[in-house]
Amino acid sequence: MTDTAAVLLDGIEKRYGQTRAVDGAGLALFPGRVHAVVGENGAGKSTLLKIAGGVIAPDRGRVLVLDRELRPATPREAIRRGVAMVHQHFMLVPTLTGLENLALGEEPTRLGMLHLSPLAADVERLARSLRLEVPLDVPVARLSIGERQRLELLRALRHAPKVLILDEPTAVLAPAEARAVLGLARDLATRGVAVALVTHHLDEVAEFADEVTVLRRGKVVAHHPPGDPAIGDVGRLACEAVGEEPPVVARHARRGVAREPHVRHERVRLRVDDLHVDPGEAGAGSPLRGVSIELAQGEVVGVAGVEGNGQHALELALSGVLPSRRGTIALDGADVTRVTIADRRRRGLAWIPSDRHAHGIADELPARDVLLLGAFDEAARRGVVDDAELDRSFAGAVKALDLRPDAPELAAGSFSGGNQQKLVIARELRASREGRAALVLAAHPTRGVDVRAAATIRRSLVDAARDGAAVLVISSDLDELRDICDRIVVLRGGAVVATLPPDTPVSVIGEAMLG
Amino acid sequence: MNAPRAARTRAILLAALLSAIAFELAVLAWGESPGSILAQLFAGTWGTRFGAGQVLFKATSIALAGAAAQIALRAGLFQIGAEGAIAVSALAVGAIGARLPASVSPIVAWPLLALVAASVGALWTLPIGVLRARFGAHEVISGIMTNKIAGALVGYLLARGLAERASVHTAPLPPGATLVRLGPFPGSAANVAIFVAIAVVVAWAWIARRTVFGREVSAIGASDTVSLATGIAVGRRQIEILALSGAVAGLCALNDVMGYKGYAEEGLSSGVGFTGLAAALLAGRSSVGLLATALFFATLSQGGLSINARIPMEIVDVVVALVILFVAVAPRIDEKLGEEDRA
Repeated sequence: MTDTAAVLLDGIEKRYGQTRAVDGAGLALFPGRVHAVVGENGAGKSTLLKIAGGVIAPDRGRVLVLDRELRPATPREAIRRGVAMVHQHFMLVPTLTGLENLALGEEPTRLGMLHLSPLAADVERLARSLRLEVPLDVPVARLSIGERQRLELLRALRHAPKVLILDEPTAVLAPAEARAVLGLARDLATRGVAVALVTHHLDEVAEFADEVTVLRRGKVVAHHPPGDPAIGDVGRLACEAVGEEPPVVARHARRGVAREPHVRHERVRLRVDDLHVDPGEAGAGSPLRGVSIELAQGEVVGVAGVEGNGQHALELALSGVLPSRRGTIALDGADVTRVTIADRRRRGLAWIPSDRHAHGIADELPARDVLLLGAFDEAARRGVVDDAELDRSFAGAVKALDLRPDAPELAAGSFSGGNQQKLVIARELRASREGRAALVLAAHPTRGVDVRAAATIRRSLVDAARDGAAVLVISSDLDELRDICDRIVVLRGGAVVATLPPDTPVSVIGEAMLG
Repeated sequence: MNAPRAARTRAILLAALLSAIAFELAVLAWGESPGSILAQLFAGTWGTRFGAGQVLFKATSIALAGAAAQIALRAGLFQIGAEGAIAVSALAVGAIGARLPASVSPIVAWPLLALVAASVGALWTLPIGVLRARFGAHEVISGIMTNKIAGALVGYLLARGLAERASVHTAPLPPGATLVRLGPFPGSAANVAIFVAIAVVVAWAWIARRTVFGREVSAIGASDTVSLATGIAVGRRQIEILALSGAVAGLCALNDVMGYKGYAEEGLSSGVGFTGLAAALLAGRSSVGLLATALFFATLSQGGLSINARIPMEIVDVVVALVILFVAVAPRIDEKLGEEDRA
């Protein structure tokens, strides 16, 4: 360990329109330490670290990499100086193989022809030594989320970086995969790498971080150097991030959100019978081989499984993006197997998608439009949209979900990842609040969302069931499923292998997932 | 919120500066003096009432074709097929207009022929939308193909009987079917179709911003997968938008056939579809911007004729191409300059 910071950010400011994403924050990353950066959605964590990685140029402030200013402030220069970054959203070309993705930007040639085999040997050696095995000869579109994450890590670690920035690396991963990634971060730190870790999981901080910086509204509100007992104190960190003495803070304190028995009617709202789905090239992971599920009005059913066991195909088939090869899907008794997404929505489908960028929000649209996408006529008279009505819906979402910033006309793409998710949630749960939803299909609804918002989202899902919808939750967070579901079905190899009550211990669910 | 608009204005000024430099260099390379060429270009356009009228006449078609392109671009689609729609509509207006009784009143003829122009244009580009929405065929490819078909079809139909005996154009329209010329610009082809063009451009801006249709189309332009996932009828909207775009393109027949020639002939409005696309790309989503770029391109086009004796008018085409190029790169240059300021 040395006294020089590998990366030093000082007095950083970055504005988007009227919003200060980062407002005079600083950060020092030292070799040999895992430095966790925590805070609520929109606190400026991602922006600050993207500035460290040269992805965003700050409006004001200094970025020093090993005591020298980062100039020009570009990702290329940052990488050249030894700063590698793994982004919250995958930066992979889906039609290229893993190896081809890794070769982008360096493209080794022999006699002027692309020559990848030496690179392949190199990468395989690195992958083995880091235990990051990924199939390298398959198009990325066919890899599971976990495999894509490992590929991103491999790319970041290809040139032995001095600094590794991980922006919510575990948000999309199943628990076992998440622990492997964090363990790797720990190992790298012991070998002298400076690691920055953005996360919402405060228990990960307690277990894997040496040092913690807490951000709130673009400012550093707390800094805990190595050895500070606060690092292990999940409750205290949560208070600092939220800026109050909240009643519900710790991750486990959300237990019992609403597990009172739901009013149960016998009306079947979703019936899936012997569903077979081929994922194709749509990036849907593995196929579905004969799934049958039935959901009654008022029921919350969880789908658990190791990533890549058919969850994604189930989501895309139920929403109507992917065609089904065999079997039927019925909403309120009507066969919708061959029906478009729009028609399913008219019959009461609400869908919180796992892939926000493909199915959830359009970056360049104003946030208030994203909030009523597909339902403009509800805010219109004779075909003319009433923008004041859109603004009122937006204000409602700001209040209900603590959406930030309160800027209805700001492009949705300028919102932080967690706030984009809140936009999607607010849109999709509108219909259920009015009792119009038959099925709420929620895929990873709280992924990348801060503790407080996650609790609100879970409560909203339970409320949707109480208001009469059937709720199907696909999640890799087993605690979440155990908290809000009436039963949990386990998918393995594209089939339902177990149906378990919610109080089943995590270890038992885990066994069913692994077989 | 005004930062992007300021950046856009800076970028346009920068592009204008670069284009002016390119023009001067091109003229100098031809051994002429840029100052006197510019003076002559101005004199031949805005310097006389006739010249100004010709500019307004040309700007009318460019604005209509530009609106056609702008409409499709809102949904993220490139309307290459406008060129074909313009040609086919012109022929239809010429052929049908010539068969109206000689004593027809404008009150009947004008709306009737406008309806013919718009519906033939819409029908012509409808297949492009259907191919795109139902079969995923790219609208640029279908557009190029339908333009070829339109060109061949117009030539064939003229040769096979729509043209007047011993001529290459349709019989003249009766007086009641021709549009009124604009009085202040004697001798020029400027006519009342210009008000139609302005109305269409302004109306589209309102439809795009304020109506459910316009907002859904904007959403499709921002992301078609997200729009589909949220239940917007993406395919139907794509078909509607390309047909609407074709209808607006078809209205060029009002200007060229009813306002200017009084009959239809092969190649009458040729190239306007593409000039309109360029104007729309420069204007972005702005209606004022579209009218301004239409006037700008019309000025260069008419000005090219007036300086043709001294330098080839193709130099003007080169300058137009450079303008488009500079407008495309200027925002990036502006960004780079901004970054260096901060560093």
